[in-house]
Amino acid sequence: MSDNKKGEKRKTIVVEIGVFSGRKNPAFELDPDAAKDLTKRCREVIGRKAIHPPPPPKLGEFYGFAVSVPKTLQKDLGLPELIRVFHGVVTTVEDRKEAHWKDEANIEGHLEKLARRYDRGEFLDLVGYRGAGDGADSAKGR
Amino acid sequence: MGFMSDLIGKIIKAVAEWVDRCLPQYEPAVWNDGGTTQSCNNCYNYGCDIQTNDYAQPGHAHGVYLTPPDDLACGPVTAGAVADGLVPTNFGQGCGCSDCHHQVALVIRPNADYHWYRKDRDGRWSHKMAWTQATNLDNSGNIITDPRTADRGSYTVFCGCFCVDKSKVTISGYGC
Repeated sequence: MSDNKKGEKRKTIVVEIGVFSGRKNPAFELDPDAAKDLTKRCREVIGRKAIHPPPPPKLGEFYGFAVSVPKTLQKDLGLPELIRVFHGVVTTVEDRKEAHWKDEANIEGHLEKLARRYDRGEFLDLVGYRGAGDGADSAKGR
Repeated sequence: MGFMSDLIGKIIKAVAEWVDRCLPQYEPAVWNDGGTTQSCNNCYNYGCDIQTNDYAQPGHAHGVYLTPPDDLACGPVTAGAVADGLVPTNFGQGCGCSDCHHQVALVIRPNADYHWYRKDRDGRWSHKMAWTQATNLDNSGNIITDPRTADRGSYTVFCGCFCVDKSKVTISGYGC
């Protein structure tokens, strides 16, 4: 998730799809336009409406998207280094502290569309992902 | 009487020291830091109780590379684990106390993924799924007393158990 150990500094946002346990999860890098759009959505959510943590993950099921923001972009974009999105909850991680925000911008649905656009949809289908609607709906009810 | 009680005391002390030294304690906070440790150590790291921060893969440290999805079956993953130094054992037989090792179990979602559980000091089992938090609960929210019967979702194939002597096991991964 972090910049690699060979000294190469990653300059793009990477989205990892949480579907596996041992095997490396599928991931994709965002192009500048997609990164800009995602940043806008994240800003609409982070710091707005605090919510409880997402439900515990289950083996063999989708357990969220992890958005990794390289150090070189964190300040410019105003985003934390790691954002997890699952079940209608956006979790930010900064200095090892987690905060949870209600996904009112449907970031999860947006990431699902991006995953399919980047040809990673098969992995969502593999675990029977039913779409962000469930997560957003359940978050509204809490 | 004095000799016997001294002897018993020494045996108890030796057993306690062995347990402390050799069997992992269920301490989720050690892994669930929200940062690199949690994000970059998967079920194989957790099972072996070795933090490499590079998403360890069975066999990778010894030139055995699993190729998904075909290699995600009991045989290839076992071969990788054995190359890393894990020793197959029976579930009931466990790992004994002649050496310093703990027990782990391998399960498979055929042609998709593998997953590891480890037996902790308290006799229960715990696990850690990729970047998620370590837990001793299964998919149904029950404490895991036996990984063979735990709710494992789609990881339906129970491959077997292994002993991990951390001083003889080396693992690594592709990076994180």
